Amino acid sequence: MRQPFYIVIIGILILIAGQVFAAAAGAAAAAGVIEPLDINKTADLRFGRVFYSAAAHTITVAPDGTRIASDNAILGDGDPVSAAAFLLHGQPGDTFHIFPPPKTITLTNGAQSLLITDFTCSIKTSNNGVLGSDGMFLFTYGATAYIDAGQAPGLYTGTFTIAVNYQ
Amino acid sequence: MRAIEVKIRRMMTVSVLLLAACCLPGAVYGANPHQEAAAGSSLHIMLSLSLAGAGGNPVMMNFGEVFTGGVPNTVTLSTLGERAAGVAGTLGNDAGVIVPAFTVTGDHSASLDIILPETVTISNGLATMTVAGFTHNLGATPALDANGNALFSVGATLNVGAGQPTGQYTGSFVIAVAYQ
Repeated sequence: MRQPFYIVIIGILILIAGQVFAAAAGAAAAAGVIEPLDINKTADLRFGRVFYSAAAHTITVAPDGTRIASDNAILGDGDPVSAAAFLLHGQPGDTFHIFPPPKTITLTNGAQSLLITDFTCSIKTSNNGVLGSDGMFLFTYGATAYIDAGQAPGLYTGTFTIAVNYQ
Repeated sequence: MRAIEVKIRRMMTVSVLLLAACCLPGAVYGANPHQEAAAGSSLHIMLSLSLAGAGGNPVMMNFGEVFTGGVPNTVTLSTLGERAAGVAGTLGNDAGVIVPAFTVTGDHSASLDIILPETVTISNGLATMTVAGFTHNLGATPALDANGNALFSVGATLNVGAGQPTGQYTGSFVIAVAYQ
């Protein structure tokens, strides 16, 4: 006689647990409607070619990818020039925040190095943006390379990281 | 009954655990993690290219002497300075035959474009001939060596017309090199 009663009690408890689970899962489903924010790099920051010079000079790549050189720089063709580009994908219409690159990064060529600084973003007013109706947003970063007088020839490379999240 | 009460408490514990597990997905969504992306950056500092006549020789292309005749003729000058005539027996004195040679310096192992003329006109008063088919001896993918040097010479083909007036024909041409 005790065993059937015991089974009924278990049945009730399972039912209660199931209801709680359903409610919680429903709440989680509501939150899950938001598309996770995803970011992909679509282009590197490339300054292209510049010829060796005994004088210090700078090269700036604007967020639109145009290249501007200081007076003492002699630019060369043949290597691609581009601003760094990042494509976001997430919840349409949601606001995101960009955590910009470090103030300065170093490009190296063996033991030689030069500095990249003054990063500028295509989102000019702030570090916030709004995803489009398709959930996409493309933004770019330019920067300025500082080349010392007599900087050794060679290919200088480096990396930088940016981060984004929902506001 | 006591055994039943104990069982009920155990099951309630299970229920609480289930509830906690259900809440976890919501907590993850609320964390709003940063998403990161890395970009590369590059800048290529290059040595300027220089181009000069090599070995102290005059920077000159000289086809030497050629006999004219009643039919058109060609004289090909290889990059090694070897002559070959389209019509047999028309080559004369080869004194002074030479091809121009050039040195290039720049970035080590850099690929080059060697820009040669299409056609050059040489003249002797009002009479003219054309020089075309310019070639160099750095192959299909010219490049500087590991020390940033290259040496090349240039050949071409002279087109001699039927009944071409005799005389000394001269002209000049420009070549250029560029990084690819």
